[in-house]
Amino acid sequence: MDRIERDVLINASPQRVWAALTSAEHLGTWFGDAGATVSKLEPGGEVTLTWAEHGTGRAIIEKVEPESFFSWRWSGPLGPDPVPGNATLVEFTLTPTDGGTLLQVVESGFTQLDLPPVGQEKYASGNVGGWGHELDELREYLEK
Amino acid sequence: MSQVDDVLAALADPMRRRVLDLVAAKGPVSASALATELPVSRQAIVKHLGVLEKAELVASARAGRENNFSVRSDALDATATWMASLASQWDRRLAALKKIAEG
Repeated sequence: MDRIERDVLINASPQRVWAALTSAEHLGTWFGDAGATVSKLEPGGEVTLTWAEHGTGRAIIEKVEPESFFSWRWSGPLGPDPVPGNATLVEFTLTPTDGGTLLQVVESGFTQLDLPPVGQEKYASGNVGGWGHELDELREYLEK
Repeated sequence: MSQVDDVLAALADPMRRRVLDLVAAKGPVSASALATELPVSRQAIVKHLGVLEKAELVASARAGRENNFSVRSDALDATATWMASLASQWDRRLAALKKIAEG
């Protein structure tokens, strides 16, 4: 239930989408913004993702089904390593469509994160009337 | 557990989400009153309310022999904001990936 699901329709073959999704060269631009590495494209392989502002995060590949499915467990907000309490599972599914590819991503495991207390001041919204809307939004994420 | 953890865990249960919805619609409201509108026992509702209260999603106030519950919005706002920011990060990433694959 604790998941985020997003998808995008891409006007390119699953083969091209797979290359963009899994190659270090491309991961370093669409995911990180300052480079990436992929040790091996197989279960247990390590992916590093680097951001100019935030440093490097690590992910461990879980499953590889060329041009159809790719998943990794990656580090959460607490540090660069995907250890228990600081890892979520990210799953990419590619489905061929008429002339393109539907790419779906599911990130799950948020309730297993040992998050630091949320600073009220950081998230303070002040929108007393917005409660119903926020719940709808949250429910969308939880129920999708 | 932190607030966001508590909120996510509390809302993971569909019946608890229904309880919260009802508290939002009818609050301040007692567990007995909620039990007349839901297909579970008063005892089960009291348990759900306990989890929601711990997650700071509802607050209770003594009213005669029972507690009345009403909604608190801060914890929910914080969690929704956090989840929404993660989701929009994915939208940005997928848009960038689309550009590369189509390029």
